[in-house]
Amino acid sequence: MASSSSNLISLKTSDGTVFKVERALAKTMKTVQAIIEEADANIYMIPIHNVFSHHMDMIIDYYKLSVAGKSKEFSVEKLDNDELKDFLLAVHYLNMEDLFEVLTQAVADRLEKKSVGYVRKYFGIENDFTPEEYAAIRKKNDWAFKGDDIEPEEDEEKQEE
Amino acid sequence: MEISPTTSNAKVSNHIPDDLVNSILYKLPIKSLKHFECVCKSWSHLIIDSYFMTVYRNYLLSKDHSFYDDTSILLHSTKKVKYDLYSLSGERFENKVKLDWPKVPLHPSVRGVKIKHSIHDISKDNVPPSRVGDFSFEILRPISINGTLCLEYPEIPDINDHTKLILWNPTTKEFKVIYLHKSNHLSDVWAHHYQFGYDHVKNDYKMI
Repeated sequence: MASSSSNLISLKTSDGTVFKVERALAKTMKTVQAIIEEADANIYMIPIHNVFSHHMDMIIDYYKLSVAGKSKEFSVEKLDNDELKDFLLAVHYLNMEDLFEVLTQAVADRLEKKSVGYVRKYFGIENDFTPEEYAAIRKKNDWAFKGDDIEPEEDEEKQEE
Repeated sequence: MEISPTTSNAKVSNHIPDDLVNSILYKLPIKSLKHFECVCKSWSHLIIDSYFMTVYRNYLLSKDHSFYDDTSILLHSTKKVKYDLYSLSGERFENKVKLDWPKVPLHPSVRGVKIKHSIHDISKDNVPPSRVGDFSFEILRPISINGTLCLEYPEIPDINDHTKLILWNPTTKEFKVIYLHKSNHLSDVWAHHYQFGYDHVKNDYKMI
């Protein structure tokens, strides 16, 4: 039986796993907090859509580190770009401010040297420029395309031959 | 923040909400930001939007900048008669890169005038209509505000008594020419007493 004075909140992820987390951790999730506050009676279990158990594991890791004053030690290096994107979407859904800043910075760092084509694919964006419009912007910002460490554009490589 | 309800257990959709995209864009270095201006039309409009840029700049300014890693010195060299501009970066400022002055188009009426100055004479025949000025500049009270410098033409005579100043961002290469009216009764001494600053309330640059 769930006691109303329990310090633990039950969160159920999309894949059916139940995590019992401290109230303090649940408070960092503004979405969850809103659900708790809106409920008339005590909630037994809160479903969190879009969040999987491997996301919750990382969220709990981050929480433990930040409580210990070691949030800078939190790393998402082991995640590939798509896994990082999924994690970011989960944290965005839960509305967790600090972790959101950490993850958006991590994504920005990863995208920095990528090509325009990669960025479009990553965000699922269609190129809606005409070739002339694209060429004009490209020319205007030509300096931004230069650099040894920047990924070249796929179609431009072919054109230059 | 909008929460889109979903009842399916399927994998999270690929679509990234706009506020999330913005949060990522704010954290990119300026070079990447300009690079990605051509991703799509909405991004290109966003990146030049002044509200977006204000938030972007605030993020940039509030970040912890390592004094040693991120600082570069601009060196304005007045060797002989031409002024050169260099950027020095790196731990010991060992990376020296020569910066090109902005290519500011010459005012049409200047092209017909014989320009005489202490460096060299340029006759009107050598200045084709679309020729951009190959002049070097003085930097006003050497200061940089948000990465923008204010430059003066030392050599070009004033057209209609207008003094020309140029706001220039060496990183993005953007520049803007400002014409200042010079009152007839002001002497040349006054002409060099401008000051250049930034008004964060009006979110604009100010010339005094």
